[in-house]
Amino acid sequence: MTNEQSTLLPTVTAVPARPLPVFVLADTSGSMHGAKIQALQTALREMCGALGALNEPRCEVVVSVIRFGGDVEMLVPPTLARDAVVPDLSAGGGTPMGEAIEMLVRLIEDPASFPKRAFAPTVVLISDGQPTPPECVDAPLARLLGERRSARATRLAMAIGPDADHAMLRRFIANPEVPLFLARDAHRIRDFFRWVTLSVQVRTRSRLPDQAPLPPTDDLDDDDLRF
Amino acid sequence: MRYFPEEGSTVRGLRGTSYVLGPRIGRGGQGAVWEDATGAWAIKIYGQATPERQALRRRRLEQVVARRVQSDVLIVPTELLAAPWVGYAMPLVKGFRPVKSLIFPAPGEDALAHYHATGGPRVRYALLERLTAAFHAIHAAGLAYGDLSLDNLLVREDGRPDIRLIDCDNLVPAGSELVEVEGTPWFVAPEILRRRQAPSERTDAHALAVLIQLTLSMRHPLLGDAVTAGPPEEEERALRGDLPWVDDPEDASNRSTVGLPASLSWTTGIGLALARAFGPGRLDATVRPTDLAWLELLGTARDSLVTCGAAPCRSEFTLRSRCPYCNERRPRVPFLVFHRTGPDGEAEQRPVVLNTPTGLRARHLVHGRSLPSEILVEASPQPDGSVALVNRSADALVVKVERDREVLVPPGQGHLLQHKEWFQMGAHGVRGELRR
Repeated sequence: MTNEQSTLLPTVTAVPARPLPVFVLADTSGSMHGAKIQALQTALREMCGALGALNEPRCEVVVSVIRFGGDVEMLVPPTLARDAVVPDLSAGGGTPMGEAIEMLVRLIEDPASFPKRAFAPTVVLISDGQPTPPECVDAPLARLLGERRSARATRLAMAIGPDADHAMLRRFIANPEVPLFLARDAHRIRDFFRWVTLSVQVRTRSRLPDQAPLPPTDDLDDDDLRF
Repeated sequence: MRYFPEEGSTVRGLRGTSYVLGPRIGRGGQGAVWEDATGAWAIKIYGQATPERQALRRRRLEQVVARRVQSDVLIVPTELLAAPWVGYAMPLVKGFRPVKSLIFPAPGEDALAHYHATGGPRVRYALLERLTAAFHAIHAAGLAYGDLSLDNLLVREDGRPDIRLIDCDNLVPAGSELVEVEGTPWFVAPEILRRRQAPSERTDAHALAVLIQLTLSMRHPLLGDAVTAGPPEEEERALRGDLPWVDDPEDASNRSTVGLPASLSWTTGIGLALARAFGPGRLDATVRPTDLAWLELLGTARDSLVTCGAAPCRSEFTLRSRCPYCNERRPRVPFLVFHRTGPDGEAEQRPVVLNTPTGLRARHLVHGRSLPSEILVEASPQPDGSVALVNRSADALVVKVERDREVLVPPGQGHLLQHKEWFQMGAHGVRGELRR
């Protein structure tokens, strides 16, 4: 059968998949320098690779990465996970987390980047420090938790090291049933993103992806969890 | 402490077998799966859960093992694991891939080219027959499969029409409370979504019909264009049965432009069965086609396939005068038409195209006799268009060679059947007529 011969037929298309967006807010401030930024880069690439290989016909995972370190940058614009390329990360500057959350909310609320047929997003925040300046997080965070589409997101967060602002990250999660993950060292960053990947995988296979429970944390040390 | 064992550690079965864990090959919401060090077994270990849930999992596994479903395509637990783990060993499946590889082309791949490259209708009908027979065996054992999905049904990577059904630890006694998974999206019966009913033969019948339509047409029966373009809530509504079948002949409100047109996807009989499954059967589980009804329809469709003779088309299609792909007249292949009685006592004609030597069995002669049975007559097409019959039954064949002349072909003997001649089976009394 060749295409030239199929003139009797209309164009045959496959069932279109529904986007499932995954947004990562990654702290690349100066304190992430060294093993932490390397581990974050590896973990993000592993996550994109694993999500791109999911091959779940009902959903296609769309990944975006916003980095905040000195300034805020859309490191990976919304891209199908299988096509996403995470560039080399470098650490430097302060922690403008508020601006990053603001960029995230604009992205989620924009129908061009986040169409109405998409499932609710999974949003991941990973940070090792205090937002700079601290009060600049309040307004964007209120928007994230209050705007119609942003508020539906599944929010996950990881605190790296003792200096991370645990209270702020818990406010970001805003759900007592979702643990805040702690990383005492860089190794845990990859474990966390593997769990994030599993949680997205479970969503893609769930009957109601927007209400899917988080998977068990059997692959993580119990000491890494804070409820 | 981490919950799961590390690669290289040993877990024991209840019958005393030791399994050394090799690489982990899967991780899902329920647990994880490892290949064992010998490469012969897969070991599934459930993840952390409450003691009640772990006890439910153990009871369900015991039930599945005890029922001994008679099917060679089901990958069932062979040995349950000893404490502290809840899980089981099963044969490792190699050389197979999920059935979704047949239904969804790779990004950028032409969907119709993909349909033909993955075996076209012949492979699809054969695979669906095997799946339906496996479902029949599961239901005959008093169980429900409960979780048919595009990942749990595997097909051979080399294209041969063979299947494996995995994740059989979710099999439950029909209507049982031992359910842990509620099924996979796209396949869950509307009554489960509406009333949280337990899996049963009838909820399996919905899932089977969904898979049949998806596999044959690459189009989901309930997800029309407006649904897939709308928000996720609209999809939920459609899957709950609130919207009509996408191919509903009288209601076009949920039409789909996806996939192959119905005229290419299936026979009239299969189309009518799908109309029943997703028309009235959407909300009334009692009218859904049964496993045996599907076996009959799928077998009939496979037996009626013709290969286009025009190069380079060579497409396969169910018996009709012209190739639906290139519009050339179909080749003059010999085929038998059995004149028999349909399910409601009506006259029915069942064609069997003789592309190759074919064993004629009870299923060709009698409606509803779809399960495997012995060959009654061997029919081999000859270069001159005649068909060599060999009687393998215990009764004589009656062959009508002229208007007033019949010959008897005793058991073990043969006859060269010519165009428009017919033969009749002694025990069944059904006439088979040779046409081209």
